Amino acid sequence: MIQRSVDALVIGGGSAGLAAALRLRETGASVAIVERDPYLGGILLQCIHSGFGLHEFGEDLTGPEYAERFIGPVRTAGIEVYLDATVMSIGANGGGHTVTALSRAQGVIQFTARAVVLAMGCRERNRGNIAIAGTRPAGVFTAGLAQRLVNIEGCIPGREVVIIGSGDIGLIMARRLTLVGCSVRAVVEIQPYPSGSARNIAQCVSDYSIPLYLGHVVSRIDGRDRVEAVDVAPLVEGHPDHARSFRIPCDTVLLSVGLIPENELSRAAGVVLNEGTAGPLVDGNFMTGVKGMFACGNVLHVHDLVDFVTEESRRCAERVAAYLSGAPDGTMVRLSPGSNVRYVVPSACDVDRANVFFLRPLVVKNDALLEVRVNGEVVKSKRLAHVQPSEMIRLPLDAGVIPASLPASATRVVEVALV
Amino acid sequence: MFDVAIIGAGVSGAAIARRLSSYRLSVALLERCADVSFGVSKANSGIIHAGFHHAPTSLKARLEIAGNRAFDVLQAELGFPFRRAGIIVAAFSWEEMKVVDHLYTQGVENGAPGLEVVGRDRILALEPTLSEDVVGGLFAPSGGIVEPYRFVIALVESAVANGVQLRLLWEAAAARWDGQAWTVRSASGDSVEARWVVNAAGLRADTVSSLFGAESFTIVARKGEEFILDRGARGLPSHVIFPVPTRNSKGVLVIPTVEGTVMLGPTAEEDPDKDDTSTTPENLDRVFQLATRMVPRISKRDIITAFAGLRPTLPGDDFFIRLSACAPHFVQVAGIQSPGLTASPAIAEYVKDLLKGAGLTLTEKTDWNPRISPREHTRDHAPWELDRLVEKDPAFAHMVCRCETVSEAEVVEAIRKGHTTLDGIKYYTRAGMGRCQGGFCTYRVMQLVARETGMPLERITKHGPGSEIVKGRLGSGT
Amino acid sequence: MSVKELVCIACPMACRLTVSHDAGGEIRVTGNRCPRGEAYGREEILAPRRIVTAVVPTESLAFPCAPVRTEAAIPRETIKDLLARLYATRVSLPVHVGQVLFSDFQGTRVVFTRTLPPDDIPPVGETGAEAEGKNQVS
Repeated sequence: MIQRSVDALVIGGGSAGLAAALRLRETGASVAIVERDPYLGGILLQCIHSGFGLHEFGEDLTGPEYAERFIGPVRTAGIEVYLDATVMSIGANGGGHTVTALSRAQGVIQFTARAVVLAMGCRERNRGNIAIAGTRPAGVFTAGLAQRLVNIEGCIPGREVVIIGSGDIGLIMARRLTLVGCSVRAVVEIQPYPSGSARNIAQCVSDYSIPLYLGHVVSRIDGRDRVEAVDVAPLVEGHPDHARSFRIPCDTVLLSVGLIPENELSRAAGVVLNEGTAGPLVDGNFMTGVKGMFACGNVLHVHDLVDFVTEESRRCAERVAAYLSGAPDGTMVRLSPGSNVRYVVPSACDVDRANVFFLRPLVVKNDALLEVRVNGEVVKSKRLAHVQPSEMIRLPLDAGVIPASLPASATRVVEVALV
Repeated sequence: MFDVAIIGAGVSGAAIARRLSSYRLSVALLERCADVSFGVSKANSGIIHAGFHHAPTSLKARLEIAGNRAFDVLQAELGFPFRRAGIIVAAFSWEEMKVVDHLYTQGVENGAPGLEVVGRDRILALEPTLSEDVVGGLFAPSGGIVEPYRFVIALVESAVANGVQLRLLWEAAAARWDGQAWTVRSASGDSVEARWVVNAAGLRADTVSSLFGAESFTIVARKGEEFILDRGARGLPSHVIFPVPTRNSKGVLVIPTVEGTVMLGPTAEEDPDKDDTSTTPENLDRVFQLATRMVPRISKRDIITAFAGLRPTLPGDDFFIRLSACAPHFVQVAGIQSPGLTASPAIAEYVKDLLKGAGLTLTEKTDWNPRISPREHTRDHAPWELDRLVEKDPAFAHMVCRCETVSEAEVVEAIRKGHTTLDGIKYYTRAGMGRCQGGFCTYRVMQLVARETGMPLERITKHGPGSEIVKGRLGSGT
Repeated sequence: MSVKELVCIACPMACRLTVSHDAGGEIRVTGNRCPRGEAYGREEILAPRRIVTAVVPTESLAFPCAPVRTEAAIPRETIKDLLARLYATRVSLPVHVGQVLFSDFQGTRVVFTRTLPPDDIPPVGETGAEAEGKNQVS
């Protein structure tokens, strides 16, 4: 067993972990990154398409190019990097944390860290989670696994593909698979509107004349050894209308049905999760309910743009640095999601500082009004031309917008709502 | 020339093979699929039954009781996961309590140890996850849980270590008796000669029987759908919970598996298609309805996967284990549905006695080794215990499956033992069985198979030829 | 006269464009909120172009393919040719992000977008970290 002591241990070497580690190192803290892949970069490395970095760098970069912008600096910043290393548990240790990891190169590694930054990202929702009926042949993949097999392992997952879910990952793979010679027979979306961006619908589906079935579900996957066909049914009042279902012969099914923040380690460490995000409940300092344990990036809530992951992770790192130097917590006021808002992250606001929040709408709406209310009274409002659940909203709040002192009888405190 | 050829490497064939391997006999174990337990056994609920469900007059009941008793020793010898968690039959009405009384009487007559009829207070104290509507029930402390495929794999490993020859992807297609021995030909043209043949072919026992000119019967597949809930699922019980049985089935159960997940099911429907292992949304709803009636906190949100198994049933519903009356030197082991796995050690004993009685000379080996070398798992050790393991092989510290905590060393061990399909590796190691259902580990396992066997990625299959994971490589004739 | 409805992909605004193309060759674009939209609309009718991102096979077992991109958009009908050329190529490592693979394809360069194999990370452990001169935050 080897033992290491650091100020901050970052779990995950993807976009969130890289940005957080770099910023923390800049503040002078000793930092270690533990990453389970044999290289840094995380999921960005398999996202070979462009569209990353428009906000962060003002450039249109591919995923690997975006990752390289951080990997280079991490190499020379004096950050300890443990690759091919998997964190097994996090426990309390006096005023800090004991993090145990396993790696082939080092064996058992026990870290003592004053602060831990959770940056583990997400896993994909799979067929089992949504219980699609039928058999279990080869040829059913989550979109991310298929993406990995194509872009990193250089394999062709199948020939005739049906994609479940019109989120960005599914759309990107519709195009990618077409480019490697597959025939994408359909994209099937449960909602009456596409969940991915209009841009991706245009350049991934329309561009390749791929049929898009809105308000439909794949009710069954058939095939003994390999996928042979799927049944697609329209939804009528929320239920599949089997009388109108049709069959699409295919040999591959891709599932792009959502991401789940990977918080098993967090839960085991005693972190309480936010039901709205499936990520840790964090205050205005990105600190979870466990003292000295912070979270940022996709593990905190599922992002749409990596640029926002980077921004959030940097801000989180700054709060970690403040914590390490013994700065006081600040006056935290709870922020709750109000009408038409699924969640607000972080869940609390330090009223003496400027803060940036991310929130997700529950509805599709044009000409919406975003309101921040304190005990029912609007303290800030913003007009938004168009909102939809698949597009996260960024809400900056200046210091002092929320009054530090609230009446003792305030029960609803601060609410962010969309009308 | 073999002394005995066993057709089918499910739990029955595997147990028989191991039993016979303790004698000076040459034994062949012939399996149709790409790996053992790939037929009926892999979808087994993993329950070691306690011996109260079947009438004392049935062969099932006798073999179930004897089989149940054998599991402690078997676990010590073979090291598969097994725990006597105890079984509870929950009754929700006085009518149902009458059935409980009947089960109790039946169980006592069968010789099931420790059975108790319990009232509401006691049953809720035993199992607090039960619904408050419970009225009472039956407690059978000798009931247990096991990982079915690990059990079958361990039995076969032990048999092979003691000289049994295993042939995979070997499907019996024709058979001829020459007066002394059978010549059995496979679908791919291979042939095996054996003086005695045991038909343990599960769903295809009827087809095999007719190949040998033996008894004519029809195996009807009865499908059972099962649903798995994640570790830490709401409503995880500590005992296996049964409802009161109906005429046709033991009912939909809530099973705490030995690995910590929860299994709900099985359903029971006849299915003409012996290859139809599909699940349905109607049964998902039904199963959850029945399960939450007994354990209210069970939630659909915890579901991680669903699968279906097919039970090989015969009319009359009892085991059909006997020397064939029409085909020479041929033993039928057919209709082995529940409690087949529980009974398997006793089935093996029974078949050995049938063969002995029919004239097969059984000389015990002096060097028979009942044990297989214990397997190491990273997940079984606390961090400070791992140094020793890691020193032995650093690959124990390299995680392949994060959800089930499976290390590279364990996956490589599976591959080196001949499990080269993703399902085979999954059953051996649990890699791919967790909450992400292989999303993270699939390509890692594929890379290890490629590295260890030299197989190109596009030849690696899910469960045998025809189920290749990927169809090709980029840049090669796209 | 043909009329085409499309979504502009020049920027994330995704304006809905209507582009009409009459017999005399006259093109009219409506629905755009900026000149880039007008240019995109015209180009989509006359000569659609796309940025292409793909992978090229390598000779390495550890890294079987390397991601690449065109630096600028290329005519849509030439995408097939580019892919065919890529799949017929076998690259030997190492390659670096920004390194040129094809110096001219339809007037633009095709470059690598990832450094493979990844550059070494400085060693870790007591000596490694001390060698980097770690500081403690007081």
